[in-house]
Amino acid sequence: MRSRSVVLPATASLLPVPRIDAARVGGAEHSPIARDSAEARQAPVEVRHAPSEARLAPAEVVHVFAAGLYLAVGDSEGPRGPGRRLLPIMGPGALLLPFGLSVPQLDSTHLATLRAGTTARVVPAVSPMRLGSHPPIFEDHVPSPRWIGFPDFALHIVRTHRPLRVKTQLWKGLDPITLVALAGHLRPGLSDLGSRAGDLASALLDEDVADTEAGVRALIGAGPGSTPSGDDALSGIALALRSTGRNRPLDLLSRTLEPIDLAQATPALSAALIRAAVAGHCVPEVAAAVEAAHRLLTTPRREPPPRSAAFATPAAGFPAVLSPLDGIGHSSGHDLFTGFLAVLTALTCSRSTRPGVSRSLSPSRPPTAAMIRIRGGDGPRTPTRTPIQHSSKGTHPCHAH
Amino acid sequence: MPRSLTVRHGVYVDSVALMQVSTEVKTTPGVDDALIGMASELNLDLIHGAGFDIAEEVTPNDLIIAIRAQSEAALSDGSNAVDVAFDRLAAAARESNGPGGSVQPALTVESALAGSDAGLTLVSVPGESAGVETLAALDSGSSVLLFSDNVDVSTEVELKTRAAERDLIVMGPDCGTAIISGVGLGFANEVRRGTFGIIAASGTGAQQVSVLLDAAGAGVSHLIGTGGRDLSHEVGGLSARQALRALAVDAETEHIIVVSKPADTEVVAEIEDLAAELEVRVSWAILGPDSPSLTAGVETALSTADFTVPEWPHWGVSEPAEALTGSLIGLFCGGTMADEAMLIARSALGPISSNIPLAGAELVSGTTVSADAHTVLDFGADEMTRGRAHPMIDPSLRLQAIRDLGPRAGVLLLDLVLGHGAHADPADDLAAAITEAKSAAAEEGRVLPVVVSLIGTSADPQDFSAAVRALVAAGAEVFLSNADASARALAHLGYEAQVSTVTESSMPPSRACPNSSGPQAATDSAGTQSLSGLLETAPSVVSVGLSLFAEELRAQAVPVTEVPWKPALGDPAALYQVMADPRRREANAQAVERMLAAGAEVVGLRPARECLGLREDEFLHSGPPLEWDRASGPMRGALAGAVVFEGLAETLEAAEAGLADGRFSFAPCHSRDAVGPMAGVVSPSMWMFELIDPVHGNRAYCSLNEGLGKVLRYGANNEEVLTRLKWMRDVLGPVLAAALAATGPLDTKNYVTQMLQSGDEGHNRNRTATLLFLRDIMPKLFTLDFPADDLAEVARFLGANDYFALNLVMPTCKLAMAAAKGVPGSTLVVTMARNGTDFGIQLAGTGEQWYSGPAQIADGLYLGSYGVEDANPDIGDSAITETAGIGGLAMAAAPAVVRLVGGDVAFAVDTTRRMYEITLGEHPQHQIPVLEFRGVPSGIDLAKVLRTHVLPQINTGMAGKVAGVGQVGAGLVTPPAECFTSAIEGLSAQRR
Repeated sequence: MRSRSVVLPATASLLPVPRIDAARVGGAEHSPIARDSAEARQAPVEVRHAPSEARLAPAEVVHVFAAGLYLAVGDSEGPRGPGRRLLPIMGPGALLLPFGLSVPQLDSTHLATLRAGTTARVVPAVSPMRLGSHPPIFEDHVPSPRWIGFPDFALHIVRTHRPLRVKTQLWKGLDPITLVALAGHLRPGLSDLGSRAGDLASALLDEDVADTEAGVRALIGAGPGSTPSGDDALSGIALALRSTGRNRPLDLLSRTLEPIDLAQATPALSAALIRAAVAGHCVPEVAAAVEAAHRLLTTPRREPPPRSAAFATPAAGFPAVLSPLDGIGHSSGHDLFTGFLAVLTALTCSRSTRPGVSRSLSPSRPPTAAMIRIRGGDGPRTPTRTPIQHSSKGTHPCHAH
Repeated sequence: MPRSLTVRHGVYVDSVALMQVSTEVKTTPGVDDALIGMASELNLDLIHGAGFDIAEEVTPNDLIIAIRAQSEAALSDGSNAVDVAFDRLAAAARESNGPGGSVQPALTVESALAGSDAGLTLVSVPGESAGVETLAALDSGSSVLLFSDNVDVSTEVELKTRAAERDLIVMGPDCGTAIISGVGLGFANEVRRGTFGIIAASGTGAQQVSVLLDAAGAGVSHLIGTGGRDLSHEVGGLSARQALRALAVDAETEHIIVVSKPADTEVVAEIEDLAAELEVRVSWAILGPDSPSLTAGVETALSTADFTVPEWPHWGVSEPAEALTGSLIGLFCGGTMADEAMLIARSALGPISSNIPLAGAELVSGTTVSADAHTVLDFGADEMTRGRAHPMIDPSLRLQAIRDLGPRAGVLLLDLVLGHGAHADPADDLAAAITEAKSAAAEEGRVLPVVVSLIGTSADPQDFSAAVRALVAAGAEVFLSNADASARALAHLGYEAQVSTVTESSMPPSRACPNSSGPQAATDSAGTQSLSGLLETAPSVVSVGLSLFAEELRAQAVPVTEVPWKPALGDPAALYQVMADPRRREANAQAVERMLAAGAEVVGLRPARECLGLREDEFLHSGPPLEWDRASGPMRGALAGAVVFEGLAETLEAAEAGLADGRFSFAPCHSRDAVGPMAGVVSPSMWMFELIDPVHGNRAYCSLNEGLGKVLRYGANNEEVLTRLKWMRDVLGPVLAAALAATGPLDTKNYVTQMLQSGDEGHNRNRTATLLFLRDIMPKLFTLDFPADDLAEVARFLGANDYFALNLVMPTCKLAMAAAKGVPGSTLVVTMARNGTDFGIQLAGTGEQWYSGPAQIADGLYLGSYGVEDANPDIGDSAITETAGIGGLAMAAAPAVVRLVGGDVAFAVDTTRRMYEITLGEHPQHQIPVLEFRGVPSGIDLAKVLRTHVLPQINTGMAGKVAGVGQVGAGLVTPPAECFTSAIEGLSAQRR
């Protein structure tokens, strides 16, 4: 068997990991639903340990998958009492979540020694890792682990890293035809995800508080998947608002999510991913898809198209966007991008047009000016309007930003 | 109806896995229903609706397993099935490895970058090969840390210009230090993260600056190396500018320091201008006659940025120094530290002798230290590191010099550099040497003060505090600042160093910028670049060269892919010329695209005299051009037999005489757009398959396959052979011509696609295509106006010859390669062919030129009692199949071929995997099922063959070397390396 001296270097994301609130301390079960808030606030005082006694935190493997594992680490100090934190530990083949540990040398031989229920010893860092003058991104600064000992190997956290963040770019000259066609290639896990996402995207861009709340509730926890489709779409919307520089709608989304007890509505991991997305973080595959979409949707079309097959049709650029998404979960990548495109679509067309409606058009028929004017007559108009934009296809009475 | 409901808390299972588990549990005998899912509202409704009650509180983090069965036993079985299913899923995911064989490690930088998401390549191969690796990285969109030295200036400028065009950076050459997003690359210290960005044209200079910043409580955002020559007049600061632009838009960086040994004043001024344009504040820590102290530069930068300048730490310094006589002896590992010491000492002591002297000082060799004069030596200089590692890694030379100090040494000044890449524990050995030197001096009644600058931090891999203790215990005075250490050394000789703390005189002032509010937004259109995102996250790295660097990165939990490197075959200068050709990438892309897009249809048959215009006394043969006196047995036999077949000679001897004296001429099939297997001899009355490429309009031709046994193509030429040839001329050819005319054109490219799906590779396994062809002509065949016996004989002949379609597959491959010809600057190999004596290749970029070497003898399995002594060297145009990506390159599609050529199934799969490392692309249509329908490796790249030493793998039949013996076996063979080494010279000569 492997000797205990195998130590794998690891790096920890500066983003904190999610709490799982079903407590497992001393057999007592603290369920926020059953207890009223007063009792819940008292209980932690009784069971709190002095920090110096909590040198070794109890930890348990909750799931092992092909390229990594989830470790539940006991956490004696939390707003709702003792609980556990869910720490993703990712090897090189795993999706690199915005929080958790990345261990480049973790492979199948190490993972083969682990099972759900395997215990581990976690030694927390004595002092926060040397971060320099910048405060961490979140206020919730829990001492991160320094050393994690498994039966047959150990992890040594030698470094922290700032997780990948989507940056704001110029999304000028978005081509609605290609946008509709690209959206048509997505396969979300929930059949009406597109329209739910579209509703929320429009509400956010209109900065309509009530509609935003309704839109958020329609998405959280909706649909199948350990990260429900609605959550992923919500993340996609958040990332798109940041990517397009829509800071006020993003703020509104953040404020709307703030009071919601996500942990009741959806799995903790998924809730944490939503919060990370609101802060602009995503897995590298999503960042790659966003980059590819940016190139595809904002590159001006050359007339005539050059001889090289790669540029013959815009559809030829779709795989660069779609194939990174295919690799994310069962439908998570597509769900997320449904949300992302919902924002872009809402930006390119008149505000009362929803992605769900435009998908009912066959992609080969571009919306004619006449049809758009008819739709433009529906519903309330917002007071601020931007001028009509001339696109390479002629004049569209759409709002282009 | 027994039922159970279990809740598992905090379990995470993805939906696909859940479905698989449910399915498996439901198939357990006796289980009526199983609901397995996360406790979402939707699932809870379903579970309640199915009649289950959940007693405990559950959250969406919990997994519910609800089973209803017909008996308790079945229920228990169902629960077990859940566990078994989960275990099996976990195990399957872990152990999945594909169809056998092993994973192919990347053999080139391009391959490593394609297979990872690395944004940075660390190149530390010998200088003459470093340009090629750097180009490979830049071409693949990766910035480069170029540690290698001995790269000339013009190459440096070329590489940096290429990098700037692609929004990338080359850090180097001779760059040993960088820090990107908290990751130390090369020789770097573990310093606090903060707001200072460092642009460094000096490695140890950067290390000194970074540890001082760390000690001051400030920190480093990124440290970007530029290589020691970047700020020279010839290079013009190309990388420094890239670095400046990137740091200007980096969110973490608020202050920028440029660190360098003496630099060209014009270049410095231009960078100053750029800084003003970018509206960023730049401080300068550049050594010069009027600015002898990097420490002073750091102090200025700190106070400008409103940091308190601390008193720099020192240890073991108690009394004021006594003024002693004797020489200043400085023995340094870091060249910049040596420069700084000399600049500081010069004002007091005059010019200092050195192996890297400043202007006006004496040059001495570093290998013998005479303590008669003030001397400062750099043990990292080129003359000192020939055949040995840098002193930061191997300190032995310097330790010996310390022990060998003469009696005239007045004070000894040293640097000790810690951090990543440096010796794991250098302080103890150094302390021991110091102790010895001090004792030796004491025995002679002298005092020898020793001053050490210790460049490191408490977070470095070495134990900083222990190093301090060891050195102080040995009697040394230890300083964090090399400038302070130098000043202390002067004090021991009775001098006061003149180091001004504010060094403004000849250095450009740190300009206060009008809007210096910090970095610009990334969306600013003023041309601010971000080096393709290099600074945005911690890098993933591809490393080619010294393993040391890869190990240091792994220890920092950085994903590293190491490329196993060896010096390329052939002339490195020619290879660089070809790689640097600006046309190459586009040319290769175009050539490959055409190759993959080419179609192939067989449209008819005609005699060679008509479709190839062969005159009565003209013949064709396989491979490159050949002279009779060099021709091998089977080739002579085949040519002679063909001459007799055409009725030009009565006997084989007469035929040979005519061939020898030139009455009957012969030329390569390739020279007439034809290909021929084995000897490949074509004579005027032989019927040729005619194929066209409907996409590009090219044509290709091939004769009809005679079958196995005694046949002309193996050099047999007896009556049996000639009789068969006559039948083929009089019956087979005309019948097939009529059949094809009636059937219409047949898509032979599609035959190839289908063959690969059916376990054939197109060179040694052709049965599928043969039968496809037969099937396609069958309907019309029997309606033709020929005697029924002839038609039956034709059908029998085709059906009996598994190799018949080789003569359709070969010209199909020829058409693919013909489409790729004539693309200047391309390194694509368009022809591989052998004539039994020579192996020749042609390139897309060099027209009809052949590059040849001796044909090899295949390594394989022999028929009957034949052995290697019976085999003829490699012969035939059939290597056109490998050239087009099938045959030996596609062995994974045809593992059964190993029974013929040797090896095992894993070998077949591994071979194809290895071939992807030397090809430019993958075929969209010809796919290999067992590799998950990956396209065959297409487009052999001359440069990659030379760099990886991997030669294209050919599966071939072996002819007996005596004419007429026929086939003696089949095996594996490669082209000789000479083909490729002469080709690279030919291609590079074309560029000049």
